Amino acid sequence: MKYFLSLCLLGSHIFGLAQDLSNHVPTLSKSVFVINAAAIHEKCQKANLETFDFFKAFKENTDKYLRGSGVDNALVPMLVANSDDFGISTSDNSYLFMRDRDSINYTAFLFKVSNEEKANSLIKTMVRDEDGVELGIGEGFEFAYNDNMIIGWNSRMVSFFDYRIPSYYGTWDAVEETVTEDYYENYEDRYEALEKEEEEKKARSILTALEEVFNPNPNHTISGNDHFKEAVMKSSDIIFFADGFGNMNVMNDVFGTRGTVDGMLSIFADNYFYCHMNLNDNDITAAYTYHVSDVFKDMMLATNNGKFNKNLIKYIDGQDLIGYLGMAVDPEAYYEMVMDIYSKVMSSMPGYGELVNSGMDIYNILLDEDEVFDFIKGDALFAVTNIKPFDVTYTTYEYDDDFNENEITKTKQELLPEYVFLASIGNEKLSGKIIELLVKSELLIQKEGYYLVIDPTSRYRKNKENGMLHYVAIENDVLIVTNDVELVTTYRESGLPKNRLISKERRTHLKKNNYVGYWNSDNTFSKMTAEMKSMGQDFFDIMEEGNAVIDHASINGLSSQGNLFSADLKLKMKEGEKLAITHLLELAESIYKMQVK
Amino acid sequence: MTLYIECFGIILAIVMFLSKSKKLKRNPRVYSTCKIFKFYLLFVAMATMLSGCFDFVEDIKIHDNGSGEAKFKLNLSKSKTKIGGIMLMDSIRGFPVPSKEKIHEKLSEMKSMLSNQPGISNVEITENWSEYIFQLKMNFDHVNKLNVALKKALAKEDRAKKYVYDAYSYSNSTFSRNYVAQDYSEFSEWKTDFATVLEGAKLILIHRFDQPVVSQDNSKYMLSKNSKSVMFRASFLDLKEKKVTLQNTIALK
Repeated sequence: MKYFLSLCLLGSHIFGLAQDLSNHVPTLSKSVFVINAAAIHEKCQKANLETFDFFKAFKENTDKYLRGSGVDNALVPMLVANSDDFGISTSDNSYLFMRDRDSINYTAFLFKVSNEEKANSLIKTMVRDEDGVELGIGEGFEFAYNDNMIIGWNSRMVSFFDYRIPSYYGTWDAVEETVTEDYYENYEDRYEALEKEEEEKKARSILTALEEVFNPNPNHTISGNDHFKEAVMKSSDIIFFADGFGNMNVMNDVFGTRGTVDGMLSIFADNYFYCHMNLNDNDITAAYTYHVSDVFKDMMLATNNGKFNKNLIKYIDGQDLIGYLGMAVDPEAYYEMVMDIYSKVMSSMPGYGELVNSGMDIYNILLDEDEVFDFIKGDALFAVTNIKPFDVTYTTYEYDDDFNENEITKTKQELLPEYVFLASIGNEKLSGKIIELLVKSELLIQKEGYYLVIDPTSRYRKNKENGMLHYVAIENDVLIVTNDVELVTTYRESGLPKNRLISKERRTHLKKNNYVGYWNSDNTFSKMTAEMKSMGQDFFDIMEEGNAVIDHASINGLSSQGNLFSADLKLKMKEGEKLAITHLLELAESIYKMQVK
Repeated sequence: MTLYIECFGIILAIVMFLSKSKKLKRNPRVYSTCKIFKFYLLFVAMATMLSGCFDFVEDIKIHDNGSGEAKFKLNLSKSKTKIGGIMLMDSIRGFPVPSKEKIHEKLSEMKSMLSNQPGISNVEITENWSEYIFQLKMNFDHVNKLNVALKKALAKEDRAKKYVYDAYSYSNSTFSRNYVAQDYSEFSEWKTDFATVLEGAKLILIHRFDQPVVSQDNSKYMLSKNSKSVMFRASFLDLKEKKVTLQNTIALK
């Protein structure tokens, strides 16, 4: 019995896949978005999308709006949001994909029809009154196109294409052959014939694209791609998938035919990427997963073996923290990985690959890796710890009694970010030498236990301490670069007092991840209120509304499992009873109201 | 990611929709005029993202025979931190931000154009990129030649001509700084409030002569201690709101 059930489940899965439109998406598509129309529709309904004024206006202008908008522009959200009205199935996935062929490059949006009458009406709306629309019938589908867009449809599905015929298409001949030129009586005839030929070429390219989508070779669709199957195993509101090999087309212009770049392609051969995007109740998340080839896997694992030095945390002021961005890697492994990729890529360069390779070999011999990697520890963090007034100098002119001009320097206060860049360093001897060199070159001025940075391009170099100042210090094996003088004087040795340090939640964030990012909405907004107001009341109102909705954003990564490496981006909404989507729609509503005011 | 936001929030779609309808409504003449100004007064355009923190200085020395030296200086030093940040972006609030190279190229074009004008010599353009101060300096055989040269430089395109007029005249020991009040209503189409842009932006005019000034008809112009120069100071906002005029006729000894 259990075998029978398993068979049934397998059968239903295969049947489901066969019904899914993924078997109409070419496997060599550059990238594919899987849009879970059902989930999005449900969330829009939960948030009462229909009650928002901007949506009502949106619908009222549908007719005007649909004509002339492109797939890669705003057509897709319009169709997804109004799926019911346009006969788009809300129980099936829709697909958006990009495909580059030699004869045509296109972006297509493909959806299943739930109501044929409504879908036909949508097509009519889009085709009606458009200039230069050509209509045609293919095998099992109808189509229409003009210079900007192609629409293909049958009773089961509709596809919109934005397209471009590559300028080089048809301009080369692989084999030299004798071409018999037709004779034309005059230039106009010749021009007309050429134009006709171009039109025919375009029509053939368009039909090729439509055929590939409506009548695909079952072995050449994305539904058979194992990487893709893995990406869509877990359901999400939107899934983005990009196959590494498919994307290598872009390199053709640089490297020529693929035969010459085997070495380079081998490192990307098993690389693919997917991202699951979800609008949850209280946040919006994008979970990125990158699958690397076995060649890369070990290098990535070694690179990822980095941690943030605890001493770094001692210098991050958490009281008014705006945000931070940082990474912790094993520098030696990272260097080796980068050099390996670089070497493979560069050596594939036609013409001078060998020369580049030799140069890199010499560079590697000369580089004292022990010294360098003893100096750079691999963890670095940039934090904006406040936004506050700083002294800034500027040039202005004074005039004497006879109005002769005298250039003078004045100082004013300006609201600027207070920042700190922190990196773990070792090799005291080497760091001492570097600092000494910078002091000799007058790029740094030695102070008591720290250094003042001098801008080499500044005309005020002679008056070294004018304007906004930047400081450098090395303490507790940490390189500190900041514009906060208090940090390099009072707190250089001891670190900041405990009550000023970042929260436990932030410390855990740094402890558990080696790629981090964080941004705090409240702190940014409260510090920049005056500045935002100066940008205009409308701008301020939108920012104010945004702040009322967003709590913080964060980047967490990288975790690994086999050949898969993942990171995630989270936009956390303010706590409350409202759903994240409601927050977003309210933000859209306020933007709309400000626009129509 | 962009698509993600598009599909879910429909935010971008609505913004695009609105901006699209605005584009349709946009007066092409105004748009083109703004485009021209973007190139010729590109720094002023950049200053529009700020709160009008810039000074413009016109300093002209006129000799008895009508020849002289003209200096036009745009000083954005007060806003240099913001401009430094803006220069890192592609566009801000609807205005494309030109690169340093593009600005240099346009200024060089202007220099070359002015150098080829009859009666104009020693054209110099100074670019101070650390303070964002830019100066155009040239000698002229007669103020009439200066008028023609400036007209040609600023009115390369037909649509910009309305903003250019004969600003200077000199004969029989009388110098006039002419002014045709501008209609700035077109600029209300800009995404930025024009008043905000001009708030705090200063205009300084200095006219110097070989002979002492006997009289002038605009009391906003101050006379120097040696009586050989006059100076006018006002905010661009006052000029826009027509609270002041640059028009002045000066009689020399």
